[in-house]
Amino acid sequence: MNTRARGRHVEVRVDRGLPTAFEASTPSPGPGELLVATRAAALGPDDLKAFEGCVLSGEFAGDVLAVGPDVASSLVGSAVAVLGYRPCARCHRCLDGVSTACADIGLRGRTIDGGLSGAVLVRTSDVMVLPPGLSHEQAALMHRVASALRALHRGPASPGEAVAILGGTPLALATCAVVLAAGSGRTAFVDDHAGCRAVMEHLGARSLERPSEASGWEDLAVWLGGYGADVVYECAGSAESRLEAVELARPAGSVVLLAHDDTPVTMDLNLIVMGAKRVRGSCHYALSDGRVALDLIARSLVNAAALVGRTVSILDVLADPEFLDGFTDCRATIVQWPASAEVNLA
Amino acid sequence: MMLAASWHGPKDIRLEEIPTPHAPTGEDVLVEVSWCGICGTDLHEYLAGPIFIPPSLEQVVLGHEFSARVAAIGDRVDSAAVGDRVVVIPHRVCRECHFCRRLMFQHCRNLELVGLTRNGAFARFTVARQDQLVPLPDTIPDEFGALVEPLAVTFHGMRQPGVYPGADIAIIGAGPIGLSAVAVARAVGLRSIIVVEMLPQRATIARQMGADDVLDPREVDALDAIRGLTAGRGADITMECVGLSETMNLAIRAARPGGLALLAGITEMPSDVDLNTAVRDEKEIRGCIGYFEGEFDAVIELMASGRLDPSPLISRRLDLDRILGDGFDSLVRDRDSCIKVLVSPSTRHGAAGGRIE
Repeated sequence: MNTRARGRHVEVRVDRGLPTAFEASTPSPGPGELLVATRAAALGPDDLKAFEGCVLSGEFAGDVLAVGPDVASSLVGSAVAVLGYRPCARCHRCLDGVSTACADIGLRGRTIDGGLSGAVLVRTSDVMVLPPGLSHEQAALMHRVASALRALHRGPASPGEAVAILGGTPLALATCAVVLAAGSGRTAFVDDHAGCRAVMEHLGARSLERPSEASGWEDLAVWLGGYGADVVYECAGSAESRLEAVELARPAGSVVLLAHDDTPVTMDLNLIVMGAKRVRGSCHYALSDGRVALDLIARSLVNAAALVGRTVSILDVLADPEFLDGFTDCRATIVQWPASAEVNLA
Repeated sequence: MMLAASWHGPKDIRLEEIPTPHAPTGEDVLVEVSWCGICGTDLHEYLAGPIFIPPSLEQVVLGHEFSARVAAIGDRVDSAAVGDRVVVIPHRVCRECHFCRRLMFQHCRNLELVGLTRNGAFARFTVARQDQLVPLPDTIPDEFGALVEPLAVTFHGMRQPGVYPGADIAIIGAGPIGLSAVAVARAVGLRSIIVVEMLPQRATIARQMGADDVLDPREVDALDAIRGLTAGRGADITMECVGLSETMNLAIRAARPGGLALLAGITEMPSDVDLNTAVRDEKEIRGCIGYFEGEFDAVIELMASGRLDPSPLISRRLDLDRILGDGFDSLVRDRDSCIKVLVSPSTRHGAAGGRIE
């Protein structure tokens, strides 16, 4: 069927750990809602960890197909990017302006349906109209660039300051691109994944394997300016990596934690107290971060091309459900969804 | 020779006669100590040191919270005169290293600390450099001068980004630093001050110094109670002033989403820390130690203006010869009623009011 036939559409859900196409009836947007036809989505190695049954991808951009009764009809046909999470807009935290810490947050492509779909229902408050000249493929990178921008706001690296990024994840790569765009000085990336290191080197960071000896970390601290990094962005999320991040930050330096992990970290807290260090969590991003991210990508101020490993069609994805296997170098796979793609659901 | 209280190792502080410092040279100043407080850091060194004391040091005269009078000056001193009443900043910095050039003096790579890495103020005389002296106005008594240092530690905390007038603060622990934090928080306009403290006399003093609510963690779940007092959110700021794993985690968890947890307590062993709450709720955890230039002056200004009354902090005043039994040992034994012990090694105070009160 055509992936966007009248009244019906195709959506790609996780079924037994693999992306699988399903036909669904297309909903009509209600008050405050838009119906968006996805044109491009970004996928990474973690995306198949989505909850079983979820529509894939929290990073997508598309065109507005229809609007709810109280939404300006002029939006129909607009190209938009969609917030990668859905705050409840009702809890204490949302009402206090901390919607990134919403008590009932939905993560698109993980805990709620994402965007790899011929038709996605979203709230008007969750979309950003694309700036002129920005393609859907580029806009699909908004989520990771905005998350990195958020981390940069949480632990600002001033121009010229020494930065370390720990952990080979897509967010680490975006963070590297953003801090380099912001004029960071010496920038080091530490991870054991050779593919990720090669990408970071290409961006302009010095890349090295995770040192196994204390002397390796000391050498890195010396390279970073003698006393450690001004800011460390910790993207791996493990207890070990978090401890290394705190140790690698210079006195009065900052550590930004971007990844989730419930394991407590056993550490000598005097490292933080006596070092007057700052440890800040960074979680998701605000709509304003998203808008700035789109603008930075549109004006080529962030090297977005370096964040993309390959571009495939939705038809290729459905033809080879294991297409993500072995592609783990932390760059995005961009999935294009042509306006009139035909999918054989048989 | 002069009497001094010297650290020789854990549980080994000795009252002993040591040579009086030589006449000062260069920018150095000889000061006669008026009052010197026993700090929690001194107590940590006494019980579990060396922590700040260099392991290579066999002996050092403790005491870094003090007021004094200038007794003699070196030949290049141009900002102090004999007889000046002063408070002494214990940091003796190089002003040349990476951190000094960025005005982060407490991280000076060549930092010397009076009373920890060089001889301090539990003796009649000690030596400082002229840039360590802060004038004490006539309106502020010498005893209060000895409280400027711990108050400056908490004032430094209250000057961190994320602390703003009208914010709520939960202070974990009402020891000398926690109570100083209460006084400073009140002086700088924080709105609601919640204190978590289980010892009854400390709780009373916390109220006396301006706490709005004091929670006894043996009677209530402190985390739930803090959230209950802050409309379910958690405090805008928390400040940990104990140095235990449980209290550090309480400070982190009790900060609201987007809030700030200041850690001021020195720990004696590694802790299991819940960092994921900081990620999920975008909290900031910030180590709080020392002070910046100008913060001693600001504390003195707050005292002079009447906005900061530190008198409830003072538990005892002692002559130096009583510092071991009635000072250090009392602070260990009687944590509830013994908050800040001031010691006078000076004959001036010793003759007039140096007995235990």
